[in-house]
Amino acid sequence: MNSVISIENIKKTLGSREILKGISFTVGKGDIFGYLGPNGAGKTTTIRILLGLFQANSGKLDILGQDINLSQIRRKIGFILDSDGLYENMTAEENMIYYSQIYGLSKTGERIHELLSMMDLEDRSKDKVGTYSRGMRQRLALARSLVHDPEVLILDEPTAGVDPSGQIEIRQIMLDIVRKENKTIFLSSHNLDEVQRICNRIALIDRGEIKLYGELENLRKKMGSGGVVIKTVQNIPESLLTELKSLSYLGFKEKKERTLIFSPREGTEISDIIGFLSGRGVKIEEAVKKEASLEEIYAAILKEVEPS
Amino acid sequence: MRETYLVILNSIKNNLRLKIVLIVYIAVTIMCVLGVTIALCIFLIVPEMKTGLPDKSKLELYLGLIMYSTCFISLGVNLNSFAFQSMTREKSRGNIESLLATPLEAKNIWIAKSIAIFLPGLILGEFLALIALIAINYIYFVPAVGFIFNPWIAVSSFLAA
Repeated sequence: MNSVISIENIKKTLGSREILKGISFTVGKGDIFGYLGPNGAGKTTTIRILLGLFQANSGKLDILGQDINLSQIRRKIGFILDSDGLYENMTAEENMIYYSQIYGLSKTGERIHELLSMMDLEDRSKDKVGTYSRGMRQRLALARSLVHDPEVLILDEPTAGVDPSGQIEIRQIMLDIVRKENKTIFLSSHNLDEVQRICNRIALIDRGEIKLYGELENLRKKMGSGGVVIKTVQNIPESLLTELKSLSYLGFKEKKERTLIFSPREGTEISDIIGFLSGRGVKIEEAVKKEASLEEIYAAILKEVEPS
Repeated sequence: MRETYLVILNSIKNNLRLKIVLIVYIAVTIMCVLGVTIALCIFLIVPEMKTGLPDKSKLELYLGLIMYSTCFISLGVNLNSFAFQSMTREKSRGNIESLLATPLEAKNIWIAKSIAIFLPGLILGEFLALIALIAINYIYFVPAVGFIFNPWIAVSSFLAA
């Protein structure tokens, strides 16, 4: 894998509290890397270290093969921090021009208009940012992060506080950025649905440690089934339901009309459940093995590490 | 250097767009300057002019003191108004953090921000000091001893800065 961000055993202590306890991961070119974790897990600290705002106590960090503290490397990174950092007294266009000048660019008019139009903000480009909604501000922050055509985007909860339609728009924009402009996105988010929809790789951090890391598809397989749903032709008799409940290895959960939901134990296959029901004379209309959702994976991992 | 200049320009523009802060700053500065100038004139210049043969070096000193106070007050009020509005607000809204994540160096950002806060106060202070110099000369000195201007008087206002 062609690595864009490489973190190796990064540790960070703030005061007496150890925020990061030696985290390691790699983000490849063209990835949309989801960085998940509960509040206070160390996500924002990691982002600050990635952007050079914090200095790690130990460990190795490379972005595009170089040290983050070099100004050339910062020119290749676009970012959105937890607060958008836009100037409210300035218009969207002025904000964009200001940042393009900071990155040492001139004649960026066309690029700015292209980005504002991509974010559907061109009509309001002459309005002050103070009059913008949260969703518009986040889209503008995303446009600003792209003004210097960076190779990597580091985004800290870009859809936080945005309404559902705004979230869909921002997600679509992120996907377009990766597909059309071949960029890499490091996305920190609380929104599991968002991560599930757009990320190909994830890392789950909790209390400063990476608990889960890898390709989302592989992780789903590794985490096992999200359950088995069986639809029967006729109604199940009460006596059979009692028998199902008594066999814990089948993991019978609930019955909804003619649908039975199972969460089988490790080692129990869908064929075992079908075999059992068929043996009792139940005619099966449909049997589906659900994949574990990210939410189930997330909940399972965090449950594992919860102190007893 | 170019980036520092950009940050200075942008910060000044942003500060000047804080209209209410700007109006309060100018009004408070003018009131304070006027009050101090009148008080110093009443307690220092008027008694000296009444002696019949005023000591020119003393008058120069008093004039310098008024110009110094004028600039000092302007800068003080300016710092109170804009340091909070510009720096604290920008820090809480993440503007400064965003700048720190760009290729700009941290020291250049802080220099630029400090200059941007300091400059409007210096300009208004110097302007008011010049008005005070001319007004006091025409009210008290020109009829009796002529126009008093010593380059060191002008320097006193910069010393305040």
